[in-house]
Amino acid sequence: MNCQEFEAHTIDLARERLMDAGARQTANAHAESCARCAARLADERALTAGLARVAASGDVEEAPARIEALLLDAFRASRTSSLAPVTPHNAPRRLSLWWIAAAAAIIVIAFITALQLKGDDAIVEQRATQEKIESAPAPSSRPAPLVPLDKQGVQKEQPVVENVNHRSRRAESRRGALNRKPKPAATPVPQEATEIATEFISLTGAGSLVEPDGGQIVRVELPRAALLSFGLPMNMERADERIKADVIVGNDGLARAIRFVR
Amino acid sequence: MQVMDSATTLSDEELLRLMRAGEETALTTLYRRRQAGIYRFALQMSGSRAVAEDVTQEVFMALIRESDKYDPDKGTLAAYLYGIARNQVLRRLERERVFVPLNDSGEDAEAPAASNLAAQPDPLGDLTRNEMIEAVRQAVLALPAHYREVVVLCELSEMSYAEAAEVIGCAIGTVRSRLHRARHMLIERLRGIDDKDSTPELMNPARCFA
Repeated sequence: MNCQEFEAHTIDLARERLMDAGARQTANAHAESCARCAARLADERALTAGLARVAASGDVEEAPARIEALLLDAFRASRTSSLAPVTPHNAPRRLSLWWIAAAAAIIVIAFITALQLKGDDAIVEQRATQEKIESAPAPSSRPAPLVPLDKQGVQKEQPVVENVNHRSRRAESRRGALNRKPKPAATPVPQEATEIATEFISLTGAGSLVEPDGGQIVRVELPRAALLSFGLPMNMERADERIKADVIVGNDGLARAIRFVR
Repeated sequence: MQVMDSATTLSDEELLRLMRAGEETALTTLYRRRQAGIYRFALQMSGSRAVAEDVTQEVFMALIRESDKYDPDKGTLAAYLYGIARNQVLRRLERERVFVPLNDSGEDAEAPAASNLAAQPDPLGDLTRNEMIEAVRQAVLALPAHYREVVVLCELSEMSYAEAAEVIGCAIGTVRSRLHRARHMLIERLRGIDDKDSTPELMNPARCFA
């Protein structure tokens, strides 16, 4: 047995615990031949003796008798009452502290929730405004359903008033914020509602602009100089800007008419 | 009286069953059987009688309130009670810092005896019995909590490694290795080494090169 192997048995030897008889004999033999391990074992044995004396000195220690009486009172109370037993000593104080802590926690949570809801309302309203803008038809060649055309010349369409109750919208906004789902856009205000357009100008010379089998209106952007080619006045100061136009396209793909939009 | 006499022969688990049924004698018997060990464990862990009293009371209050939490499949009732006591003590030590570590002057006072630790057949022989007991007790209290508890359980409460492991909720090997280190720490502390940061693995250099 070397010193390292002896170290593994030192505590069991010092504590006089049960161990393999052969291992004990070998370890004792090593301690007799190795001064370092003998000193190590002596230290451990001294410590064991010291700890045993501490243990023995504490054998008389026990809980005071009043604790038993308090526990019995609590036990009787728990038997006679359907309520939870009252803890003797500091239990009432601890219970009240728990209630205070719980009340404080509720107040804090309510305050934080109120702040969050307030913030969410602002965010949702901002988001609704943004969605309103985004939901409007973009100035591109996106097809739009053919609509009956008014025979008036330049017309100004009435803006669509959003007919959503403010309170219900707020509630919806809260639900949307809590569910963390994107809120469906509010009733979109068509971009046409704010646009002013000329009447349609025929590109084919035909009397009717709309074919019986329908067609599509396509929003396009043209150089502002296109106004001149249709005999319309153009602001020369904005000659480099583009102008929007709606083109009626028949099912055969040919343009039937055009109107300019501002 | 006859009920009490018969109750003393019952196991902890049987007493608990009777206690759940409302038998007051069962609680009394169980308490008297286990209170001293739990009180001493709390006292030796904390060094405070007030803490030990509170912990003992809390342990049995927990048993009265929530006796159904005890699961016999997970261990003995004694280990369960010690486990509650351990948690209570550690919580209080953490919260109240009731433990007062050894100060330098205290260690200096122990140094004369400790210096003879290895040289004499009885290394603590220079101390009177009470001084020696107090020195060892203070050295135990100065251990970190997870080393202290294995010393208190295995050495002062005379539990087996398996029983201590059940109380602490760790492997037996962990108890064994912690006890090994804890004893190293105690020897070093009782020897009067001022270096508080010395790890138990470090051997005395004088011996290593001897």
